Amino acid sequence: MIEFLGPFLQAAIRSGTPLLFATIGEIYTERSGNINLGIEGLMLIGAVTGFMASLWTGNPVLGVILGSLAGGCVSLIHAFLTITLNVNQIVSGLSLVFFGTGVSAVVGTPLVGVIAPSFEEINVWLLSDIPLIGQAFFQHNLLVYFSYLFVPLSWVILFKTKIGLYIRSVGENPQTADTVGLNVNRIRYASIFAGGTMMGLAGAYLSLAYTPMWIENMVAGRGWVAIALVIFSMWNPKMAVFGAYLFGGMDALGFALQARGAQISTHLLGMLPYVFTIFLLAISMWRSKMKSVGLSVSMGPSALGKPFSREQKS
Amino acid sequence: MLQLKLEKRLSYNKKLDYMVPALSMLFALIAGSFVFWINGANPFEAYKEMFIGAFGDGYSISETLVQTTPLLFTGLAVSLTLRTLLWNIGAEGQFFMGAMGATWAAQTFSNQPPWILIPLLMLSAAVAGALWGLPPAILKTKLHVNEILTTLLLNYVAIFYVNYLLYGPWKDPRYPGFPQTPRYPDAALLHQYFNTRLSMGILIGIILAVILYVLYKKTGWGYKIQVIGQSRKTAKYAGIRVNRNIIRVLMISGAIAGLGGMLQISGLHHKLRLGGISNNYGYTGIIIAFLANGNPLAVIFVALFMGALLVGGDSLQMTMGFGKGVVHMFEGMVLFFVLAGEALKTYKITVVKND
Repeated sequence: MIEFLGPFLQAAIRSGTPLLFATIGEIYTERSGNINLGIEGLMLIGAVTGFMASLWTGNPVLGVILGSLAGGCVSLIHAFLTITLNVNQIVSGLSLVFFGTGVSAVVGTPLVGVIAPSFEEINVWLLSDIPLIGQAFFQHNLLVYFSYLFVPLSWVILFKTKIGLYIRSVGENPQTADTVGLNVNRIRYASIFAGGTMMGLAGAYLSLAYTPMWIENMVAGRGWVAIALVIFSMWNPKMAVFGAYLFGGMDALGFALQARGAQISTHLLGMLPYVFTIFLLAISMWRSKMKSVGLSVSMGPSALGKPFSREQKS
Repeated sequence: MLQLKLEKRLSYNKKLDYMVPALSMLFALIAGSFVFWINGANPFEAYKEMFIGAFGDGYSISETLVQTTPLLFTGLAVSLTLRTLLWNIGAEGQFFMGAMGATWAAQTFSNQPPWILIPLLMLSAAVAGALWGLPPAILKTKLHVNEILTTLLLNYVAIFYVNYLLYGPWKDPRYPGFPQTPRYPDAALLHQYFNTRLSMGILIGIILAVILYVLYKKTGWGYKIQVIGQSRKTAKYAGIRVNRNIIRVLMISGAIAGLGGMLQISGLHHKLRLGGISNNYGYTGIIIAFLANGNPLAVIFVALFMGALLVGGDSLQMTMGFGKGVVHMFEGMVLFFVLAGEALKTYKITVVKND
């Protein structure tokens, strides 16, 4: 059993990590009251930029940094359209998906089939020798270890610091936040940018650590899965871990079963994560429906999706 | 610090109705030329190439119409849901399921005459598409699950499923290396006219657009879904069964997209296979529906424009080596500028000094 479980958990974490980054990015965005549906596009931008930067500089760490920044910068288009110009957030996000898909494909054309410096697996001294746990958690690339720090950090920032308080209050009650002197729109701009960098990071993970290559449209729907995981995790980075690794586990299950010689079509197995995500969505909606009878359980930030302006009280 | 500020326009300027879309297109062209230029191509040459590719001669025009056909169906499918303020991002999957349903009928009733077989294929495709729209509809009405996510996730499921059929039970045994079904029986094929690849699918699409237009404008049902689109609450007070209509709209939308999938096979590919069946038609349909503002007659023209963009992009690919990405990038940029333009229609932007 252990010889099966170890590689399986390892693979689950490997393929869950990009979802984790992207989901937390969207959590920051949505906590400030804005929905950014463009994750898929931003991840592609991050993936292609990160790959290109790693190719040019020879340093994958630099690649990841630039990929993240690219995600952040492109997400500012969404911020400008939805915050400054009051454009419908759904449509703006969808446009971002098209834009990201297109730009990454055009820019990436010469990169197909090229090999760039990527992240290698690093075994953590001693820890990686622990049976089962060692293989599952401590035989990974640098970015996975970074995510171990990133998740608690993003939770602390969002719930235990002033910055997080600002973000959440702007998303819950922008009018009050404005009255106490917060610049609502500026905080939303910043949250969208921060979220965008995390989505860019998620993309760069795919092209520099997971695959690691540039393939057109390589994000393959993970951006949309991340949006579903935000709801599943109830806008909390801690919960996002479970969702992301569960999805990663579904992804890994197919390979694991086949490696054991199970006669199941890869295509049918490929459906699993997506069906499972729909199932998760249904469960989390059902759960909040049950709970909301008694106490008001967060169905997401109250001002989610609503533009803010001082003149009109909503 | 300087800051942009929006002020609602007090008087509505009619001229903006034409100016804004035209300027948005122009800006998108300029932004697009920037990308061509970065990639070392002359933007003017590139645009000329795209235009000639799409409208240069009779055959290229027919190819543009061939690409317009599926876009008409996906565009109409999405525009229907838009009228009720629902987003059907799943037209891509419904399109594939429609093609799947048609193929099932073509295989099952292969010895029927065309006048029975073709309608059977259409019916089967529409049912398959509608069923693919059903789970999101149920989840939306029973549990308020966001339909954007469910319809989208089902796209992946549909494509994996068709893949499974093509690599497994439906594979043509004569070509073991290719994931495709055997050719449809002749009775299941639509005639291609004037030595081109154009079938009557485009006509069916246009007729459907007109029918939908009449339904929206002249019938009680059209009025009902419009009320639902404006306010679910009002609709409920007015005694309209909101949930039932939401389910109906999502299923009809799926059926329209599915029908598009059937015409794509019967009229063009003649067998179910994966490559080339859909050129992201489902996703482009979303853009079309949005740009057409949910109006089915406008969908015809926007679909034509997008079809031209696809064919033009293809010829760009052949002559200048740009991939399909150019088209998507262009679509994205057109959308950005149209969105920004829409905002300018209702708001005036002023720069204010802010301490």
